[in-house]
Amino acid sequence: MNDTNPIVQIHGLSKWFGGTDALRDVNLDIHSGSIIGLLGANGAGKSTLLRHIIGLYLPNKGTCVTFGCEAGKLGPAQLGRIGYVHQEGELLEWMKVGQLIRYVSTYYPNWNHQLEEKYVADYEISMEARVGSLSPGQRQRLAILLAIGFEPELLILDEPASTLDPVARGQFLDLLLQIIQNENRTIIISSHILSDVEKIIDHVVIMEAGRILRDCSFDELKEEFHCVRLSTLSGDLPVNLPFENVIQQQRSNGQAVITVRNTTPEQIEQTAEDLNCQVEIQTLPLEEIYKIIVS
Amino acid sequence: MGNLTANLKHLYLHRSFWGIYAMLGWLVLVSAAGILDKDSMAGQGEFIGLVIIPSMMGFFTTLQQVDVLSKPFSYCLPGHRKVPRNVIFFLATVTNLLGSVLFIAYPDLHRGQQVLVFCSAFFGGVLLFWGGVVFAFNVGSAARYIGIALLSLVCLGGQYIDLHRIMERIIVGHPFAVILPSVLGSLAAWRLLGDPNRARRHCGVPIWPAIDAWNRKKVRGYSQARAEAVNKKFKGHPSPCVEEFFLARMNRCSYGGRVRHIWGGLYTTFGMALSQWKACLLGLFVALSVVLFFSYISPGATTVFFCFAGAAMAVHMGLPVYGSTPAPQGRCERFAAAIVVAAIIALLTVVAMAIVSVLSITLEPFMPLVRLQGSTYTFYPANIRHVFFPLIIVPIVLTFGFCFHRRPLSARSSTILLLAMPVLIAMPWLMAIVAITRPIFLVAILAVSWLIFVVVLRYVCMKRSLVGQSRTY
Repeated sequence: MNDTNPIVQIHGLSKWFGGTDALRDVNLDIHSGSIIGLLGANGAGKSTLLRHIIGLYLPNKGTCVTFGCEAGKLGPAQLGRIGYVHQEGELLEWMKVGQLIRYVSTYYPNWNHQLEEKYVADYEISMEARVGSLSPGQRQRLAILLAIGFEPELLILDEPASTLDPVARGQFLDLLLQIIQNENRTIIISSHILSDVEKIIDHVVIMEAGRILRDCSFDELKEEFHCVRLSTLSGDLPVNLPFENVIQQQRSNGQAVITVRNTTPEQIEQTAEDLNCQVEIQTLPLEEIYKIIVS
Repeated sequence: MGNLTANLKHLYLHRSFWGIYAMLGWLVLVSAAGILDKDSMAGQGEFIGLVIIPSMMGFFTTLQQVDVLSKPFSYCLPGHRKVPRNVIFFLATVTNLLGSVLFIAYPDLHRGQQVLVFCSAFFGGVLLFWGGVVFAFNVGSAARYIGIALLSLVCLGGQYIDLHRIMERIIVGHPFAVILPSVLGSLAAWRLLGDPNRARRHCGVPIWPAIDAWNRKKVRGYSQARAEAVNKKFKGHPSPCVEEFFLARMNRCSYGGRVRHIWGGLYTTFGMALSQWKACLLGLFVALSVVLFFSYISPGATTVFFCFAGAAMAVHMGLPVYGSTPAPQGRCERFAAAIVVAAIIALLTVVAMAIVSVLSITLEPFMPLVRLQGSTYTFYPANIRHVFFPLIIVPIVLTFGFCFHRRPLSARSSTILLLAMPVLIAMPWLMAIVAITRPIFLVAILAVSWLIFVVVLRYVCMKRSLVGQSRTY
């Protein structure tokens, strides 16, 4: 990760729509080269936050600065470095696919036509089809192409895979893995398919009701939670297991599965040894961690 | 709660109907007040109002039932097959019972005749109700344009042939000629609405979102369902030469400059229309025909028509302000593009109006006097000095349109209503503006309307959220 100035700086950002607080005092810095998973339930404020980054929304309070420019003043120079896949995937319905690609590519001096051709072939996009007649999955693929065709420095993906079938999702992930080979590229991905997201991210931001609950590296988050599988070597397990920071516990037939927080593997092993138990320590999948944090 | 009651509840739960109820309520008041307020004379068409209204009820309630049928979950609802028929027949009965009540007060009728005339009015209304039902079932097809044209012709031209008097006289004078076809029609409707395959035919088929124009997903779903038909209709459009024209001009401009985005905005606004220039010429010809027709009615007809046309074009095309089409447009770029597009919409309307006005003036010596029902109608040529009025109306309409940026179909209907209100109440303010011909006043009004538009546009572009309904035409 690049330790120079963040490319996106959000300080004290609040946004409301009528009587609804969409974002409340959000602080977030996004550094170049990071791959951020923005997680949250429906209505948590993820899309609202992302739209501030590209200037579609203006803050009611606080600031949002992208590439050194405030949200309201973003111009082609800054926006030309950002690729954005919109959650609702609104495109120009009346154009053909090929026409839309040519129209969008006209705005970018560094549009990669080879990447475009490869993508069109891999995803079997019909250039003659009208955009309005595409299925939701095809529209999403097209929206992704339009966002990555000019190899942006900052790629914002708002639910990019929600309408893709499993094969297309796999292809999309491979594509992202290729993109992140470039260390200068920053990706923010907001998705409900956490099993996909956790394969590529290195930083996690979890939101709930307009606030950020967690903002940390993915490694840090994984090390915070452990799933401990205990099997007694002799006799029954004690009624009260002497682990600290237990979040949940299940027992059956001389075995226990415990989820603990802020306990190192060494501490867990020591406690298991004291109990004369066999222990297996696993990291939790992101989906389980997310459920624990928001519950 | 029975099935019928549960479905009748839609009539007040469905908020889109509230506006329709307000309109119908107003019509009912006007119709009833016209009779109750004074001694009504027989055969003057004053009693026919409430008999016509059920046709609109038939249309909207059938649309609502078809909307329910189109939802897959309703296909599986036990006992739902007969519900649309029961609801429609219930409403046909109730609305026409109420609508024919006025005929009890019809003058110069003894008791027996009153009952017969009441029945005749009831069945006459039912017949019109079925007209609305048939229209609703065919609203998804091109037949709706024929229906709308016919309806417009009847509404606008009916007064010139005293259609309301004719209808009243038929109901009163020839009751069996009304009752018999209505009964036969009702029997046919009972049979057709009870067709067990109807639910299968409508299941999963999106309907024309006439009553839910605010619902973006519904509008998009309907458009997608018709995508194949649209694809065929617009095959080859926008044409490659139009695309080349705009992209070449964009490519001549610097990447960071606003002019590139202005050309982009012009392409996305006018690209499709330019590609279909033959259709535009046909539209101009139709405009000329309509104007020639209305020029017999009023001297300001051409001006009013083109004010409507300019307003409609402005609302339909919209400005390249909202939407999330992937192009690196900053707020300043959207502002610049929107101003240019607005100016071109206004200028195009002015040019079209100028062409039609010149043709109207040229044809004036050849246009005959029309004599109808004892009245003589003279042809009023267009006033060429009014050709700049669309330049005043278009920015006003565009400013108004910012209130509805999330609901473009509501914007269209609201704008047309806004302009239609003066027509409905004898055009006092619009004619007042039309009567102004001194250049200094015209220039002042023009400047003020554009100034307000530019100020509001700048505020929206610089300070407001830019997430909204992108243009889907």
